[in-house]
Amino acid sequence: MKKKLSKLLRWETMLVVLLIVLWVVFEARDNGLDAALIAKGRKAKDVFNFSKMLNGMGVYMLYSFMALGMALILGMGDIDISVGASATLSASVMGISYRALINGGTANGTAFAIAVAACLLTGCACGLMNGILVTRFRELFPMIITLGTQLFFRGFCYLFLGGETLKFDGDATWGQLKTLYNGAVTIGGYKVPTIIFWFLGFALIFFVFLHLTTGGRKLFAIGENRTAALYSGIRVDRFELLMFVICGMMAAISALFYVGSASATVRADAMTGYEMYAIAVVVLGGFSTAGGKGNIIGVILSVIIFGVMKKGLGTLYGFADSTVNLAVGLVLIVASLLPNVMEDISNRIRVKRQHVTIKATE
Amino acid sequence: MDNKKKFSLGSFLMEHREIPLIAVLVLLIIGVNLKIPGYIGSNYMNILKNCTLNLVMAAGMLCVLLIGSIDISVAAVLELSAAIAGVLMRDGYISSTFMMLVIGVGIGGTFRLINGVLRRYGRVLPIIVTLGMTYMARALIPMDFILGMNKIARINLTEHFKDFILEKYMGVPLIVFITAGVVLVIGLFLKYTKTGRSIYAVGSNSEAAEMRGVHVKGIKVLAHVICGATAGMSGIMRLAEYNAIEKGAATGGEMYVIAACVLGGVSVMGGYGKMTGVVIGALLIATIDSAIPQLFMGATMMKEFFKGILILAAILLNVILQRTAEKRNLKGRNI
Amino acid sequence: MKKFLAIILAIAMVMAISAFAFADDAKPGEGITIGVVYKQSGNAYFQAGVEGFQKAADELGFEFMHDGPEDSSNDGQERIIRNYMDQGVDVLAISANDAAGLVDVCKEAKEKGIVVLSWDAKVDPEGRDLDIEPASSKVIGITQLESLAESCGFEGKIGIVSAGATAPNQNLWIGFIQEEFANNEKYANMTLLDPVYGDDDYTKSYDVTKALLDANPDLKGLIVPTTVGGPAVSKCIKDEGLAGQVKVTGLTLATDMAEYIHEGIADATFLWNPIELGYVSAYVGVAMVNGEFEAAEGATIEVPGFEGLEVTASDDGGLILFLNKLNAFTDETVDSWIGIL
Repeated sequence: MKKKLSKLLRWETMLVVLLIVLWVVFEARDNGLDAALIAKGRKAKDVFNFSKMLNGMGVYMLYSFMALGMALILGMGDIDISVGASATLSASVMGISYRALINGGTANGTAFAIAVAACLLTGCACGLMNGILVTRFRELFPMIITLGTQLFFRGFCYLFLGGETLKFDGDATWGQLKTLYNGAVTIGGYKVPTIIFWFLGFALIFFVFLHLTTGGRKLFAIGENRTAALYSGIRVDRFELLMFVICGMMAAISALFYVGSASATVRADAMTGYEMYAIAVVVLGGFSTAGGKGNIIGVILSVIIFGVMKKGLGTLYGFADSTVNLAVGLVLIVASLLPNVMEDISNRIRVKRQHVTIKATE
Repeated sequence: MDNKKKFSLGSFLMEHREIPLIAVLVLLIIGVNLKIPGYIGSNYMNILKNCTLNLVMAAGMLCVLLIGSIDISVAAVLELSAAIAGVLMRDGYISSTFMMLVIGVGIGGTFRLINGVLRRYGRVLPIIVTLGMTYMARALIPMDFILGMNKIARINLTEHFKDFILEKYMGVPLIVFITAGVVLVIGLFLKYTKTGRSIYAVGSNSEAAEMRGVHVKGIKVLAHVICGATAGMSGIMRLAEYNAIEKGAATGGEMYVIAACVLGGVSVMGGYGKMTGVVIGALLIATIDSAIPQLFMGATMMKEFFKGILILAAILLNVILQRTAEKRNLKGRNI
Repeated sequence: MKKFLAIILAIAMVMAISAFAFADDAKPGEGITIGVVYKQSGNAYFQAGVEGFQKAADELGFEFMHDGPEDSSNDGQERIIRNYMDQGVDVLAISANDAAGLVDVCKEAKEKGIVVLSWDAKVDPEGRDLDIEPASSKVIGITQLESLAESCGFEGKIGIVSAGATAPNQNLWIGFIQEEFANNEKYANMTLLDPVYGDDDYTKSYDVTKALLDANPDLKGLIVPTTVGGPAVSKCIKDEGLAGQVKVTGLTLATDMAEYIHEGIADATFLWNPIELGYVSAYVGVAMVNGEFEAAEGATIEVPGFEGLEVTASDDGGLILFLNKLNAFTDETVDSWIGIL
């Protein structure tokens, strides 16, 4: 009985409940608005429904790939604030290398393939740099180091692009990036954006890695206690380095989608602040920033919750885009406060119970 | 004999972690001076003036870092306090400059008090609390009861408040004196008062401190409040200096505040850090900031690029130099 | 019985009022919703633009919503546009952060039958129906140059403090300034320095101005074609004790510059009127939804208070509508604009 209850109280269950509550509230508000419109003799707008939500989800998923990479880093108790900047750098490298190749006479398709590869490689390189610095300069903490590399990467973006917007919107090959973001598959009458499949696919890989392989166990072991992990034979530095590289690569993948979403353009100041979205999503997903615990299912749920919440608050309650961030901030704090409060309460109850049993035996 | 000499040099460097930093600063100055003769002579007052806001916040950040925490909401708090105080002055509730400073400190302090309480009693990790707080502060500013869609401009401020902070006394703008005052007060507080020493004690070993009768939770909240107060204060100083505030005016400022502390040899793990180091760190950043546009006139993009590289390099160089000192120190002890 | 009577009376009243309201409903904008998207929330300039929409809404009876992203990002604008599309707007009036970045989502909106206008900052031609701009770049550039030259008595050294090195609008204006300067006889006794850039950042603008003043002690005037730069440059001139010696002109907000204009640091500064920009955009949007106006080269539209509004072909291959009205803020006029611009 007790076990069942504690299983029910898992973080993911709470997220599902939160999602349902949000949905019901929004649906009710939407119906209310529609009723008011009809009463005024106007057509109902039906602002919020499943197909609209699904259709508009893409723009709230641009950072979801970063979030998967960030989950690895937070799981180890590290943090990477440079993901937004490394994504922009990857996109910039993709843009300028493509332009250089085309000017050098390379065929369109080949140049594009090389540019995409360059994008992913740049992401990996950014991750590699973070990883090396983090493992070599432990006294500085990942937070400080990635704060520094963020400035560094962003500096490169400005060096490469200046204030220019690289445009590829007329280019057929770059249209592939646009379809990556804009494309949709019709399933059962619903238009499902392909970005959702990409995300779920990656999430599945990350789920398998984190929760079904030794790699995942190693990762959480490092997050739980780095020294203990080291003494139990895990090559902590090498493993951590690899995780940072993967995180950088996921940032580059986010960049591909972002470029698609921005009508195939690249700018040096793109994706500013994305690291914060990624961290927020992962923390709401149940990853502790202290490391050692978390579940990818939670991350998937929290990506959806953030999307639904932002969309609902924006369209149904007329919240300004900036005000939505207030809600995001609140959710972030409450999400990390709640487990602690719950733990406190359950501890108190346990202590009381023991007290009672002790009294009874006396 | 030789060994002994090495030993003392190592321990000297360990005792004074800011020495390598001074070396970096001097190297930079010499480098720039070679390129532009007489550069520092003509710009030192500008550099001093430009480092003030960063330095005031860094002084508060020092307290937070000392207890092993971190605050990335300082820039947002700066904007919030400047915005609220600016609105109060625009609408005629406040006309005294002194009251403005008090209000600024109050707003910053209160904001961080919530922060500190969440951190201490809710055990939420500092990065998350301050991240959430940053979101909220930035979202509050454009709300109708604060700035709305407007901004505070020179026309909204009182005659005295507009210009007092850049007025020069003995050739030095008042803002430098104010900054020196804040730095001195916090520095002396940390070094010579019981409460100040407790901050160090809590940071290096909170259990030990608790056993010695230090009210650990209270001290931690206090450190957060000091940090918020300095951020609020620098918000008012910024408003007085630039006579304008809008949302996002200080975006990214927290990076440079933390960088100043880290450059100054403050340990991010808590328990170690000196005000002198922070001052030199802030000076170094201001020097980089002022030197780059002179070296690459007009190329603002280059400035961002080199600023990032230089700060990162300076942080890493500082750590490497410290490590070398440490190694020497250990070697000396072995013999 | 009394109750019954009261109810009957109440119903009659409601009906009368609604009938009256119905009779008054001849407004052309009734039932139309406009979604106004601007570059950034919390920006006073767009506040004024929204005022223009409000003024038009009072006259035409349409509804409108307005928002901008917190961080002036492209994806933030996309988010808002998609939200507005879901809410069933008939017109989108967009001031784009990135002309090319919004093309796809705007195309999608156009496919849904939404009229897409860009105002103040364009969306690229494929994504828009019509771009509405205050004045042609040439008019904007030359007006500033002429005003400053007059302040300096047509002699001496002048400079430019711009926004970012690659800011497209500013560079276009500066291009026209430089062209006019080189080709017009009346500027023969003057020197024009290369532009410096303050990146639309108060501190940076202040610092580059200081550097420029230090390097050119004989400077007579500065053109500042950016609203952020104006007050920063003026403040710097004031702090350096050069008020009156170095003149400023440029595109600025009146509220920012009123004091400096009164102090004689600037004789006149300019800005188009975002209120008018919003006002005209709203009229165009409503007319297009009602089918009274079609965006095509040479098409004209009647807007109260404006004359000769005509659609022309723009340099980027799309359609554009110029208001060609530039406000001058001088010692006499500036006070009436405080708080509005």
